[in-house]
Amino acid sequence: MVPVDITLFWWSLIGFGAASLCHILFLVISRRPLYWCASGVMAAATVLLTAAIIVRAVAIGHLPVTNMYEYLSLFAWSAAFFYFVFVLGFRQYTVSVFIAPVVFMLIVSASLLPKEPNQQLVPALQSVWLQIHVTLAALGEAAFGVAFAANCMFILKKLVASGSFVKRFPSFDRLDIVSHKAIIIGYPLFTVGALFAGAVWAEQAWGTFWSWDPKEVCSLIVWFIFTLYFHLRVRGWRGGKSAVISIAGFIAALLTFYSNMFLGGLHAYN
Amino acid sequence: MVTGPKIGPVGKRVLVNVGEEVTVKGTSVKVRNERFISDFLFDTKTKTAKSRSSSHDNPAIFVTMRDDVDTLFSGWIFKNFGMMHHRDTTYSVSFVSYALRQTTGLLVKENPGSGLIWLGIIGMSIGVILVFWVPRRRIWISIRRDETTGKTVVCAGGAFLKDDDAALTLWETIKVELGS
Repeated sequence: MVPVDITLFWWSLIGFGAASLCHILFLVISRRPLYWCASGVMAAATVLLTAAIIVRAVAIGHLPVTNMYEYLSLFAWSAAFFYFVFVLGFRQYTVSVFIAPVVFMLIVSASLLPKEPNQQLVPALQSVWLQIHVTLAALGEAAFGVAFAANCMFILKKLVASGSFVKRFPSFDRLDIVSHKAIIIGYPLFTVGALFAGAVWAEQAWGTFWSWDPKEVCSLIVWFIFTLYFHLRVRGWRGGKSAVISIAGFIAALLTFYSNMFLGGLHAYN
Repeated sequence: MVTGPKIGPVGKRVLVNVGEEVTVKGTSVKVRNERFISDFLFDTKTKTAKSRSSSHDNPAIFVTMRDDVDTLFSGWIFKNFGMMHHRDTTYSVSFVSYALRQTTGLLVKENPGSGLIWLGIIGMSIGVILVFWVPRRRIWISIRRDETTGKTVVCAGGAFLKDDDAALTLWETIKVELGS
């Protein structure tokens, strides 16, 4: 029998797929009710994913962030959370159209991974820093995902200047500001969660703050890319140039996630 | 397994731990196990013996066998090639079997600076959050009279949160107002 959390996960995947489809239809047809329908489906899918994470957490007795499937589920949930932050908080309806497919992409990636829970954690993972480090890193990377969505719209608008549907995209300035806002939310979360909390936990678990593990190095590269982004904005870089850097940062974040699959290292717990 | 006078052609089995020396019962022959290598490899460049891997593909021990007067044998003997190092002497020694002992490696370190690192991490975390998330608007305006031209010179500067759009609008307004 399929566990309840996995069933909920599959239903949420269907929900996010349907929400992405509705958002794309909204972009083509541009009917406001369709957008609210898409947001409703998105909300339902997020509730289902939240329930899946809670059920799994209760079943295994700790926050489910100990394998790649669980981390990607949390990553997708965080991206969905930022979808609502940008819809309800900043009223960025059109930008959210591109966030939904990013969430769907993450949840599909999670669905391809083994879903067996870790009932007995290895000693290195039995720490409160597990929740702090992984949750903040997931939230930070999800915010970078929102910036990625806004910057993809920016690049698409730049490339397909005469297209009919790109006319409904927000202005270049608006997309630049949304992307900038998302990175401003994500950068401190990533810095404190992935790097600082990670270093503190590494000292407790492995006896050293920094050990040049492949995932540590890749995370540092992501951090450098977004630091460069801020630095170059101070130097006057806006729009397309900073969009490219931000997209590169999010792709690097995804590669960081998969790095231990190819490079091994201390973060390869599975 | 050691064979020789007073020991007999069948030989005697002696158990010797690494780094220890054992006397063969009823004789004055002493056998010392100097070193164990699990997967023996002789490096021809450095002229030293080392292990090719951590697996036990070619176990070898360096044995020294002596009586009260002379060293009877000294060299590597191999478990998988028992006859290889039987020397043409009165005594012979061969590597018959071995057992592994479970050990745990502990690294004990003193890290007197860790308190400072903790302090640094807390400080940096607060700093990052303050820089990015705590709203602030500061504007400085300097008004002075240029004695040579007799004109009033106004210099303005400001510091805002990175995504404070309203502050940017305010700043633009100030610039326009000052310009007029």
